[in-house]
Amino acid sequence: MSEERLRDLLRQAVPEAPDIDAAAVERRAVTQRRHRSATLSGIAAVIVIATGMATVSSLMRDDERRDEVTTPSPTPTVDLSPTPYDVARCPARLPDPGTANRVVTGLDDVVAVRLCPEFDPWRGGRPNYAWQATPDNLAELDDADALVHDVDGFTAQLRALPLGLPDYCDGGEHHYIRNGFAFHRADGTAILLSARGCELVTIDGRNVDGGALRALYFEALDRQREALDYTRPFDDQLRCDTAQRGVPVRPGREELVAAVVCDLPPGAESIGPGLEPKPLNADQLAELNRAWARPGDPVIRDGNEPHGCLDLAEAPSFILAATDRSDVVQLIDSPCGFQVWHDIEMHRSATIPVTLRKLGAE
Amino acid sequence: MSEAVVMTAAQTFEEYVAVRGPALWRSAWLLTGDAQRAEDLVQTALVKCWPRWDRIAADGAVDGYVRRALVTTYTDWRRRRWTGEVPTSELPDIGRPGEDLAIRQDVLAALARLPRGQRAVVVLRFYDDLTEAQTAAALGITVGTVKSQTARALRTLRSSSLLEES
Repeated sequence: MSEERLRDLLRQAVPEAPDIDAAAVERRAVTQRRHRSATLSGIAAVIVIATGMATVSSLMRDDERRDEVTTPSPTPTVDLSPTPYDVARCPARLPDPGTANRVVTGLDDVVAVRLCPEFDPWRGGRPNYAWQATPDNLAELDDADALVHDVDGFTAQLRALPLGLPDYCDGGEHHYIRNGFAFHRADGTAILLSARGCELVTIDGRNVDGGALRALYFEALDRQREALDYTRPFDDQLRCDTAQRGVPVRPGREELVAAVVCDLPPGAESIGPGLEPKPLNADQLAELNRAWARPGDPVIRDGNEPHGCLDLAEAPSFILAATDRSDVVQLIDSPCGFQVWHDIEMHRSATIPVTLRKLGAE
Repeated sequence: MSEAVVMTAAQTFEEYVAVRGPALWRSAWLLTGDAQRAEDLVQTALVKCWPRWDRIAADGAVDGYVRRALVTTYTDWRRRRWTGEVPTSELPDIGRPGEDLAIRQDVLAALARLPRGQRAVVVLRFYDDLTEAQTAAALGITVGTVKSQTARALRTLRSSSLLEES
């Protein structure tokens, strides 16, 4: 059978298409959006947010534009407290590392900060001009919570960072993870700062380590998640190759709203897009949540010795779970009677007292 | 066959759906083999894109985004979404004069033998007429994987009754 014959058969087989009702699609989208609750309490300060906030993202979207460009402050017309989801989202594509901005000149009027992840285009220093954000990337940007709580405390910590790079950078340590940090000001303008560990950034006139900024941000966001009660439940599809996202998560603080089990076939070395996820049902998810809320001590390795609960001959099955703050976490099924959870960014880990067998999900 | 698409950055969601909706539905029908599932698949993909429409339109590659959302939604769709539905060997479509229902049924039966990934590759390559690179981008896989999936799919299709080598 020729490829042309196949094309011909496909054309013949397809029936006449109906019209797609755009209004119905929009109604469905709006309904879904409404279901994504975003409740917030406890923000003490009332901050004037300019109406120009929404334009910031379009400014930041322009890769050719220098990031220090700020817009004139429009007349403030709306007084509101920003919630972690009010703040303009990050650009999907960070600027070229060679020309990216590494300076923030002042911190006094910063009202919100976002960490902007680097997706693919410049990873490894090789530009990929054809790269486009995936729907997953855009969902991650949409659903990320910004730092809006105790921003003054965060900026005070930034000003107190030690100057220069830490000693461990002397040994040629190089961090490949690059981030943007969007500093949003009360006048509606924003600055996108490019930062990487063991590279200097200039904040309020001081040269400090980009990695230290990242660590401080995660600590501040962790405090915000403790202090404020807000949610945006994950509502996308979980695949086995869905990337983990969301920092900082704490077992039990964030609730799991969906989970899938993934079984790697014997000998598999990577998680391919074709690996079929097995969703947990409502009862299984409830059981997992109960265990998630009772984390146990982490497994500690003894030096470099292989650990019977962690170092397995075959890749273990794992659970990918999504939270009510749109995080995605991975739980590794250990033969020692628990799941193992790691938060590499915050250097936390825990054992979660449940197994796939107990969940009935083997 | 997909139409040549010229998109403008300023195209609204409604305009896009009006122009491209039927073509998306036809691709979705080949993926799902069912009219209602096809409509659900198209709607689900569009719903995913809707909140980000301004950004997607501004990037000037609307069709690529939507197609990617469509095929990844299809390949990722949880099996349980369709549990409870009763499979049938008879197509529910009544058909219109001039339509060859036998071909339709045989094509769907042949496509149903393919794993989801291979089926998506076949639809994108041979119905939507995407290049290997475009297909790879839409599915988030490598060109090499597209080639191998295509070869496997064609092998399977050639062994089916309607599509067997003459």
